[in-house]
Amino acid sequence: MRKELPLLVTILTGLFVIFGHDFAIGEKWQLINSMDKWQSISQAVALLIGAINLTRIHVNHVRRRKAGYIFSLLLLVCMWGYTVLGVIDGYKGVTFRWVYNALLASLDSTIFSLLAFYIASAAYRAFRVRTVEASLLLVSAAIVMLGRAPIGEAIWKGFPDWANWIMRFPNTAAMRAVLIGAYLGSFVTVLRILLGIERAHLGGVGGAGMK
Amino acid sequence: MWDRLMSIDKRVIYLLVAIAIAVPLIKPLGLPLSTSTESETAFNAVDALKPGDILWIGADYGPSSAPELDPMAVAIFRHALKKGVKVVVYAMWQDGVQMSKNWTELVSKEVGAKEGTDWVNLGWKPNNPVTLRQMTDDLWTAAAGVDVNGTPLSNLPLMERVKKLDASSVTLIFDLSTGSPGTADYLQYVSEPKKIPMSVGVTAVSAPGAMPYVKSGQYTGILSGMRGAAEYELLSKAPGSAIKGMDAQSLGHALIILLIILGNIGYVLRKRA
Repeated sequence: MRKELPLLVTILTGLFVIFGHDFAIGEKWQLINSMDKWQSISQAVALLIGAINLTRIHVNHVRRRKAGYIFSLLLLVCMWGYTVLGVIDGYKGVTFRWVYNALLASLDSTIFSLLAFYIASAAYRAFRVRTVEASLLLVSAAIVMLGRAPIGEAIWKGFPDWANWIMRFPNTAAMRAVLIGAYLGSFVTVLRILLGIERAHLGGVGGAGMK
Repeated sequence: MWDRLMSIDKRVIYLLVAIAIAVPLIKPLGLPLSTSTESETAFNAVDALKPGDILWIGADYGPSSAPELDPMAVAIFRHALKKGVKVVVYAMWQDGVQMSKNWTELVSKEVGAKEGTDWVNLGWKPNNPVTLRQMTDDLWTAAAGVDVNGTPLSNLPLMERVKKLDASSVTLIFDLSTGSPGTADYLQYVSEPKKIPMSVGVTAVSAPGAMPYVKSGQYTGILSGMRGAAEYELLSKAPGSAIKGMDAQSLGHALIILLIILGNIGYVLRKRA
């Protein structure tokens, strides 16, 4: 029953969702609304479990003075400190917003802005005309980069048009192929789960051969 | 000798990038900027709204995308309020609350728009995109009956007209998004089923993924990255931080291309040697 029951719950839930979404009677009975409520409750419970679990793990790290326990302490102070501040101060609170704008926003922006440096360095090392495909990629990237910045337009008026053409046609065609492939993959995975072939979510390794 | 061209120290590259980005920010070059059809379509969608129409702005991003999406938000919000269009802001990202609070307060003060009457910020509600879908049936319940400040929706005159997120109340959706939940969820749960036209503003890296929906007509135009924001500022005749940032982006891109060319010259010549 340890395997069969979760499998049954998964299959029934999957069928319930399909029935609610794609059948007129499911729509009439407003099954989607019930599912929405269940999902909201499940997510709230999952969030609580996550917070408790994270706290338990890091409290243990601090208690046992494990390597890097100071970071665990920092995590606990930040997580619960900001939660308490949010509850007391609210979104309107000056302190709550100051912490966000002065610390969180600045740190987040800083980390993201580092990408400019890494991308410059990585592009310099990786973009080589080794093969025809790599050369095509390089030329396309250069045209789009120049076309997306005013300097390209200053060099040659045609760069924005070429960049837009690449984005509208080859890019769109490729992205459509990727999306269709991904959706077909999702559909197959759903079928495998509903038929009980895919069982990785039950804690095993999955696959048809699993007993 | 050619190896040197292929192995420039990364610290030198970092320094060059820092200079290429910082100098134009301090001393702008004023390079010319044109507008793309996609940005013009997105601008025209907002420009076509009549006074009293309701524009729904989705603030689905955080600080990391703020340099690209904040200027879009400021320009769109300002454009709409100046036209007498009413605006409802909603964030599917928790970070979107703080982001939107910053620009709604800044622009509404500048334009003289009144919160509750001219615009409402619903803030963030948990469990998206499920909550977003619930809003199409009963917005007030899905939003827990309050706006971002905890003010009951019944005290906000604008919300009397927005009981549901559907075409009878909202004329246009403009989602500013950097990932998931974001534009795809608006398309799947709101725009398509409720037949509400939708424009999007996305980060430059998200633009290739969004382009198929622009070509299919499901997105009414797209603002792509800082360039898209700058184009919107240009079209609305209100230059802001995006136009200022375009020179820095220009030199940054030019430097990367120059480095790629140098690396490849070294590669080709070494191969020949």
